[in-house]
Amino acid sequence: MAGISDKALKSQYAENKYRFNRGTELQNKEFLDESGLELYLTDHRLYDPQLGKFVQIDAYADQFENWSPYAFANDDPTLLNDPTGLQVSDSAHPQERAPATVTAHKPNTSNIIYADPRPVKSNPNYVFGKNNSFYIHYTPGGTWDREKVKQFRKMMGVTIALIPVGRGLKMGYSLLKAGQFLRDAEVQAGLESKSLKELQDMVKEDSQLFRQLFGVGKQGAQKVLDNIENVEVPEGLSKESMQAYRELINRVPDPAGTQAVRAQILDKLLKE
Amino acid sequence: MLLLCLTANGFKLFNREVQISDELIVDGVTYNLESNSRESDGFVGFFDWLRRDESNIIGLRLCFFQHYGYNDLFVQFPYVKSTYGGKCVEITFTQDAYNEDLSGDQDFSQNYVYKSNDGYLVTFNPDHLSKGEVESLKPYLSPV
Repeated sequence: MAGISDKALKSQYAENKYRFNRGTELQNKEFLDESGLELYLTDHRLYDPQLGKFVQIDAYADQFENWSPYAFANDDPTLLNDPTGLQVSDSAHPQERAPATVTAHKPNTSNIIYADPRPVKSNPNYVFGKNNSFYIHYTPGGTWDREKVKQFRKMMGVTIALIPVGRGLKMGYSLLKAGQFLRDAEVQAGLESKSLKELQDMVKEDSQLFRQLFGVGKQGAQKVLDNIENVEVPEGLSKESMQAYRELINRVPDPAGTQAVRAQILDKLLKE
Repeated sequence: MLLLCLTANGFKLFNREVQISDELIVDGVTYNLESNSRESDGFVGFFDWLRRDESNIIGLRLCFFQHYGYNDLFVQFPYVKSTYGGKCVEITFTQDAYNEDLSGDQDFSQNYVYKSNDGYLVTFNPDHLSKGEVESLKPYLSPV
């Protein structure tokens, strides 16, 4: 590494270990022989300045399939940045303003949640670990009408306003779960404002798959519920369709209590 | 397909292969697909096979998603019982009581409603019934 290092040129100066973004410290001289990792320890991952790559995978790699999990700033360091190792940002959306943008399911700009550092402190470092709560803002996706907004607000209440967080990845995980919660709430709000016909159409398409999932009658459903840990959702049965069924059974009497058991099955499966 | 024909003179039950279409001719009577039923494409609600015991079906219950108009017209027939605030209708083929716990299929699909000059016809898909359960319906079927 010494061959391409700038140590030879600047040997008379005090070593600057904080050249990476946001004063992240270079982890060198870790060992007795003063050899070190030569890596910067960001909030979430170690960064190798010689390679221009992270040496640990992206915590959200599964959601960004087009990029290497080790890539720094989407391989575009002239325009983009990733000071924490968790999220790529650009000058239009600096990470200091939106320190933890994550997507709930697919990377989709209309479906983003982000931590707002203002209630905590302007220093984004605080958002990354030194406080135990933060506010989140959510940009809903799709087309929203007044009814859907009403349903969403009713569903959210105040419970999602504050989320306890830990340090580093734990906070990232909290955000991810919050994103999933919000996404589910959004889907649910959308379903509640859907017409009966729309719900019927969604469920009817998968009638055989629902039969496969629930079994026959109340007894069949109860067996499934009793064994819910081992139950697999039939291939092709979408989450949206299950949520539509869940909504639909709220609109019809349940004489034998069968739908109540099915509702419990769906609630458990939809939580996973 | 199980066909339940409802008229002022009583009900008739048929078990026949039928192709769902706008018009059905059953027992010499022409039935036309009811408009709400066409729109919901055979998904007007959830239905239950009412069982006396584990192998004997003695009736049907249909719970509608909403008030379609014919809900009220069904209950004009004395053998149709309205339950759950008019959102469900029940027909039992005998005087026997059914077992609540065994009567919660909450099945759906191919549940079409047809209308004739004299009454209504409702289709029920029996594909999910066991052979024994289908057999148990035989005493109540009208001759072809």
